[in-house]
Amino acid sequence: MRQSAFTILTHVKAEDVADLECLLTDIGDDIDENPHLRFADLDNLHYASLFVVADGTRDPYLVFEGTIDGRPHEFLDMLLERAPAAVDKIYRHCVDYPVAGAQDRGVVLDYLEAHDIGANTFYVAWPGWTVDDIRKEQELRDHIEKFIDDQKDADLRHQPPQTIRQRIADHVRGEPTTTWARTARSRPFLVKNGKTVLRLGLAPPAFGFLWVLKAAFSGASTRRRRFLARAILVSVLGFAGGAVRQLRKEETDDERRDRERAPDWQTTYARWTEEEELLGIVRREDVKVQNHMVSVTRIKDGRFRLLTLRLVLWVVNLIARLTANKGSLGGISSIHFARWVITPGDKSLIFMSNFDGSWESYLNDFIDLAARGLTAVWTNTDNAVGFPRTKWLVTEGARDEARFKAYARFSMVPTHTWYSAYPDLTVSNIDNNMRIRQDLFASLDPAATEAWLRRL
Amino acid sequence: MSALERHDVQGFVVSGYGKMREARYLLLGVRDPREARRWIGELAGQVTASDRAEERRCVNVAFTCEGLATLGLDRAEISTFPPPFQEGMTAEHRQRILGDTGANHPEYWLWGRPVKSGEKPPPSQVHVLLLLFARDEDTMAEVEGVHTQSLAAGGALEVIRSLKPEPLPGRQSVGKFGVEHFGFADGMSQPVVKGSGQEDKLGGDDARRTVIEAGEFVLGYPNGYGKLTPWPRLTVPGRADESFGRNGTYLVVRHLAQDVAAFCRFLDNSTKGPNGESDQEQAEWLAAKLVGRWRSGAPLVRSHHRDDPDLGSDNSFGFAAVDPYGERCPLGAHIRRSNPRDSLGSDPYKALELANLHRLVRRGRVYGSELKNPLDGDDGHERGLLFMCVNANIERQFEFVQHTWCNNPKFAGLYDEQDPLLANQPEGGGSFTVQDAPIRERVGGLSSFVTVRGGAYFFLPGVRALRLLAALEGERARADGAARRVPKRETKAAP
Repeated sequence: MRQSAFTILTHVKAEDVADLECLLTDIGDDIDENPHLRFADLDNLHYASLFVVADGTRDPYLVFEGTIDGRPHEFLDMLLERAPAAVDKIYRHCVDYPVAGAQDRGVVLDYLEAHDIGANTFYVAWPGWTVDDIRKEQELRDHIEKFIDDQKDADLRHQPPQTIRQRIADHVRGEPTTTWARTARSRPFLVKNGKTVLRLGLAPPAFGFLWVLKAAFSGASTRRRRFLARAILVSVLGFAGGAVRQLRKEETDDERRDRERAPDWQTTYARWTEEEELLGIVRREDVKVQNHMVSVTRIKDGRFRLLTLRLVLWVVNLIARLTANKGSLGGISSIHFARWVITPGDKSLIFMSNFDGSWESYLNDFIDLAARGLTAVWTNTDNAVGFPRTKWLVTEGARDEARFKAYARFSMVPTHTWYSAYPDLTVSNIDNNMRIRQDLFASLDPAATEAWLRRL
Repeated sequence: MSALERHDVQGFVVSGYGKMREARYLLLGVRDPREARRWIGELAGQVTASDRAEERRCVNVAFTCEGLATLGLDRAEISTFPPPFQEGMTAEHRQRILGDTGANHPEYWLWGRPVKSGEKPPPSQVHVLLLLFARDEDTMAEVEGVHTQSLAAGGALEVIRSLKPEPLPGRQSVGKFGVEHFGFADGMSQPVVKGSGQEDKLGGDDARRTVIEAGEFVLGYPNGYGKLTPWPRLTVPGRADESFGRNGTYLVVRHLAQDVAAFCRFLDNSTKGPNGESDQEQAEWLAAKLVGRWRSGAPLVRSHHRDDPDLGSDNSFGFAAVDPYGERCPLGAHIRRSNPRDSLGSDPYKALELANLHRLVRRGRVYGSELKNPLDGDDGHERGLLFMCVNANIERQFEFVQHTWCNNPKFAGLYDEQDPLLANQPEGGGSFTVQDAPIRERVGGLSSFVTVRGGAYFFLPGVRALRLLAALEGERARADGAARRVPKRETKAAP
């Protein structure tokens, strides 16, 4: 089943911001037992978060973000069926909420769906793996580990690898609760064939370009054709050249503005760390293995930056769909799900991510492994700290460790409510469990058998 | 790129003063800021800088955030220090990062614990750490006498606690390295600071493994990213100084008590034969697996069947090529967690480069007497390690090592275990996996062998910065909170 993302963005009544934040904090402080909303009762839900982005001058807004198996329509319908009171309690604080029709599930569903802005870029570590799969495979692994531990004195360790694996398989076969594990499951089409699809997709434009090149310079083409081909070539190159020139102009302008930035970024950040704002964010971090990050940045002025941002997000999304779909995004193997969303009106960029380990280690991964991609996205945005100086869209930028971390920290909004269906599993645990299950009953050669045993 | 300004960097950064057998660490509270600054001014002339050869005595000095505020840095100046230093080691979320929960919780600490609201009398806040070293006991007596007298003169400072490490070489000597209380040679793996003059004798792979950019350990020099780590500045008009933090760094101190009896009992219990008799050889094997080195220091990667004292000081190894699956040195072994070298990630070359962005210069010394017959139980005397390390970026270095490597139950693809030596283990005991072919072995029942008894983050300024501190004026701004500026936060953009 395919995973999907919904991002419901609604405006909050200015006078209700504090009450809503309070309610969401209550839920978030006791995510499993709170009296309002039990996320664990909702099927197919991997992750959810609710947070308010508020300032004094413009309209504050609420974001309800979810990552689910299947389509948002069915999920939201189930949510309204199982927790209508909680939804009502939350959304009563929002502008446009159909208070009068709140008794009618269909009306509220329409309201929520109408405000779902989805995601411009959506990354899924393990496409096709449902909440149920992930949990069951962990149970299977626990089951096998326990079996091995129980065999401590039964000289299991002194058997040849094949025998050990056979005994484990026999044990699982004898266990009625794990019958599901007997059928191996296959990975989604795009996970297996994404590269081929990408190549096929790139082929026509590549051939087209070659054809134009040939037509432009080959003596065999007619004069008219040669002229046409050259005209195409010149306009394409001209357009590209213009875009690059514009990019550099924007970047040097940014640099100039940054030099005039007052106070300088270090002072801005230092003052911010003096306040309670940073504490409001970190107080929720590192409670479990996984963490959540929400970052809101202002998209730089001008159509060029917006277009560039949209293009970059589109490309990253394509990569996420086709090639970065096996547990790693640009070398970072600690992200379960992440998304970038441009808010309606194109003012802000919201980044939301569910990841393993501390924020510090996550940001180090950004800088060490995926600086170019992240620079290409965030260099189009700004805040009072300011994104570090960038050249050619992808270089420098995030490699300026101290400033990039300050920029990212400063851009964060406390996640009032955050839910994970499996907060103690890492991306790599899920991968390992998946492979244990995959090959449990498969026929393996000796080397593969040894490799399989190493997974335990 | 400028060479390390060794005359300005305090000597503790580049040397643990191995020739100084004696050490005293005095934790001080400022009682009269004006007098304390005068004392700092005098001390600036005596502090051992990195360019001084080790003589008969060495003196270094470091400050906590409260200490600097008491001495007269104002709120805006304090805010130019990084958040971990400002918040201190005991901030609530740092307790989760550092594993300072349960028995390690700061409320039980002997020193460094924060003031609870309404607590009377409040515990004395540590402001200054004075590090004294001397070649022998007599010199130490003299040094200590002189310094305790001068710091107390005019009611300037007060000694809150004096920490006394064991004279080197510690419990016993194995080659050139000391032995910590669990019985392992310690201190073999140290980064070499570029520009310290110590890197000249290294070449090739060893240099790549151990020579680290000066900016990782001293502020004001390019760090591992080729950038300058932001450093603290003096910003008050009249005394503003952009380079106050230059040649300074951060010193992390952790007072760690070791339960040697529990450790030995665990080894013994876990390796008893079928008839319940102890198996010394198996116990040693398990101990080595937990640590990743044999007692002599010989790395398991090099010698995985038996101890080999000839390899005791061997530090020129990686994990990726010889031991990718942890079948020699377990994935969760202490030395693999605290420095994974080239083992994390698919490309060993890149992995080493990235691991080297999280290095620490360790300066610990052992305290407390040796426990003679550990299997007979504890003798009631506290013993352990006064762990200290130098780093320029507390979050990326010390805290990262502690959280992402040592305390991380998911380290290197594992599921549910922590550093077998250091971790604060869960109720019912932690576990440890010994990877092996054809199948792993798992040991349970690990208890917390180490308990945190105190600690703090200190700023170890350059010598020039000491003089700037001494020259600060006025009493401490009394209404600290009132003087605090609360600037308007840039508002979040609306959609």
